Amino acid sequence: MTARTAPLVFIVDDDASVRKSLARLVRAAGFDVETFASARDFLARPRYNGPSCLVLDVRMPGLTGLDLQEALATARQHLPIVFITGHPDVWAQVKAMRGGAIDFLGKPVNDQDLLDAIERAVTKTGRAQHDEARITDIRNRIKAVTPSEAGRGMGPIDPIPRPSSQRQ
Amino acid sequence: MKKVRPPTDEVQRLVHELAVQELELERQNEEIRSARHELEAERDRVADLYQLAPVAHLTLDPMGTVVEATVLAVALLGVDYGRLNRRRLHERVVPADWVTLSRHLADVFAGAARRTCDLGILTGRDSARLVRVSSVAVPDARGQSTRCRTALMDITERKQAEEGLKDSRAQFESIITSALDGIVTVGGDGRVVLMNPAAERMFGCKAATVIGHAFDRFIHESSRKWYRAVILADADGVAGPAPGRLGAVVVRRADGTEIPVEASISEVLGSWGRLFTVILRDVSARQRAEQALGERLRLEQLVTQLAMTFGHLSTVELDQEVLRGLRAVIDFLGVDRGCLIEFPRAGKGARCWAIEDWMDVEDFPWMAARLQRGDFVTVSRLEELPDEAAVDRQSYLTCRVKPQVALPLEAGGRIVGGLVFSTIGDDRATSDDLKRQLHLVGEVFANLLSRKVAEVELQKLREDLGHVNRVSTIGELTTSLAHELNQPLTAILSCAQAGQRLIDVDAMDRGEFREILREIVEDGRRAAAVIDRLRALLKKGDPQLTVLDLNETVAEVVRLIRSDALVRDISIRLELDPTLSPARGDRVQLQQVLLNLALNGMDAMQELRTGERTLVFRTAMDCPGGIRVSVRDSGVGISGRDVEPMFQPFYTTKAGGMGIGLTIARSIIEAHDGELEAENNPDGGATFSFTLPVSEEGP
Repeated sequence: MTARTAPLVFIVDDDASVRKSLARLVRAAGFDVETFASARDFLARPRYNGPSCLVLDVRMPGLTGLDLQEALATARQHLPIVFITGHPDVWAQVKAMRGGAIDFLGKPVNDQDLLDAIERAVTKTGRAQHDEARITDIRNRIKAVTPSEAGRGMGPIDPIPRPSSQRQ
Repeated sequence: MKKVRPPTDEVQRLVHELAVQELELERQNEEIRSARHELEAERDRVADLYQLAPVAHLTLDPMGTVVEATVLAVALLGVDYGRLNRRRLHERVVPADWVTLSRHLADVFAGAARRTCDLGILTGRDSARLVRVSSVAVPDARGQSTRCRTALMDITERKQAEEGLKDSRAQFESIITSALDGIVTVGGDGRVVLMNPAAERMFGCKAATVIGHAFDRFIHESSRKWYRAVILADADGVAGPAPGRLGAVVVRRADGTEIPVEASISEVLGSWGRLFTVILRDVSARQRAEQALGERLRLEQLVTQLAMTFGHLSTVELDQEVLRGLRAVIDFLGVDRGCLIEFPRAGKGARCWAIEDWMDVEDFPWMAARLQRGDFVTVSRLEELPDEAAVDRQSYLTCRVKPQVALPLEAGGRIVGGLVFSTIGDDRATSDDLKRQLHLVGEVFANLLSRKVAEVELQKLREDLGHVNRVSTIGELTTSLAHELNQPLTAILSCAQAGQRLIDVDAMDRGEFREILREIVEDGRRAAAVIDRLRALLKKGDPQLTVLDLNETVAEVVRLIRSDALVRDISIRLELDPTLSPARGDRVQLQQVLLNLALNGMDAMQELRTGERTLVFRTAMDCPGGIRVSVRDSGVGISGRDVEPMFQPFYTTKAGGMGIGLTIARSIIEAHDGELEAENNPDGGATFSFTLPVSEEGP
């Protein structure tokens, strides 16, 4: 895999023209873009470990956006997701946010809102990768302490910082 | 004798002369004697003849005293000669006839002519006998009439026979005279011998002018053959049909008119030759009655048929059926043209259905105005038209449609229209018969018009309700419609914003810019198409009948519900027959029906697990003469008791439903001459299907 200069944005939408126009917009903002017509197509893609995010349509035939979110969580693939939907319904929104979505945007999307959400998401991937390393380290250390040490309580742990909104 | 001296010569000569004279005298005496003998013989003979004559004879004096009587007379009078001789005949006459006898005698002795009278004679044996007395005066030597000879004839039997004959003749004559059938007696030569009053009336001429003339001038050419065959069979030497019933014949009256009769003929062979009695019965009244009855029956059949046709008329067939009905009425009435006018409830703009489009109400303002007032208008001559009918007159001239009748049509206390027929003969236009027929026909058309008005109102109501239903149906679709619209809008917005960004950073090449704009245009069109579909469905208005490809109609509906189906995890399958014939109908209304059926089907599948929800649209040519469009769901199906009430207004099993969807769907389909049905599938779920007739117009 060649080194990337820009974060990679995956766009999954069953509607070809939406897919195409969003890709155009996101690309114009300086991101790399890959588009998929369905959740299955996306799942078939090899895992990408660089800074990236997923722009995901909620409603699609077959596997829906929420199904995909669930599937990724199950696979412990912590890809930040920006949901877009033509019909913002509260239930879907709640479910998406609980599942850790970065944002839930209604169609038609305002370009700035979308790009901000993407920005936050890709930053998060960077941090998430860093955090994951730290978490692994902490877990290893926890394994190393004696049960008596463990009984005395947990040592101070660096809090995971909230992803900050960064403009490009 | 005195002695004188005779001179000798003289004496001699005298003696001789005397002798001669004596001889002469002797001869004369002899002659006289013989003559007297002859005379006596003659007298005896005559007397015998007189006495023995087969006729009873009397000799009477002016007083009626019997001077002589023949044996027969004595026998006839039934008394001894002694009681007759020198006695007046009156004694033997019934007193009632004394005056007759006296007058008879007076008449006889007053002149030389023979006189006759009938007297009742007392015979002394049995009842009085009727005797005909015939007398003539006989002058005596001095030329005075002191005697008369009287012949007696017993006419009792003859009189009785005569009376009988007279009776039967009178009877016969009264029968013939009073007979309702025409009776004509025709001689073997074909000339009329007798004609009764009924025949006179039948032929319209007096018997006196006909008797002696050939009868066949009264027989119509078409019927002359039988007549000649029967009556003149001998003359022609051809054996004709046997006399008897001849059946229907046409006779011609003196004035030339023809009437149908039933005739029978019988032949009498008498000493006077062959005679034929022809009995004729005028059946024109019966035929007229039969015709009238037949016509009435036909009219009633026509009216019933029209009423039935009009009773089940859909708005689609109205024009066609009205014209067909008019054509039937025109044929029945035997007129050229007909026209049905409909007056609107308010204002102008009367509508016209006319065979061959000959009439426009606008061209006949005077007649239309009179119709609207409820007048029965007949126009037979243009000159009859009043001045204010100038426009009408011009139109009559242009259309060449006089004369005509116009009948107002009333329904519910209002003149809803009129029926106009042309061309109708003068005498018929005013006949009560025609009026009666027209009124019957008019009623059917008036009903049609009033029902049409009601139907138009109902139709409007239905359309309003249909609109409400469409709006509410669209309401159910808002989710998916928002989605439908959001997609192209998202694309447009994103493309435009991408463009903006690229311009801002000067990273724009012309090709990409062109591409962006092309995509914007495409998605703009796509959004407009969604709006169009929505607007078409929401549009209020008259049904527009067009020739439709139902596969296309189904596809349009599927486009509308696709995103809704997506949201609800319902997969849609199309089983469209590519060889489907075109149908005729209103696109929006049929879409509305399909939309209703589809949404119902989708609602029915709500409880199912994802993956089991399938909605199948199917088109097929599997019903006789028509197309079937069905929407099959895999839902809960219809519970048995729900099938019929399901089509009733305001019946619903849905929480937010109005319960008018299926009612409207059914009324729309029925207005399209189709049927809407529902049934449960054997493998679960329900199928709603409707049929539509194939359009005759072709695609």
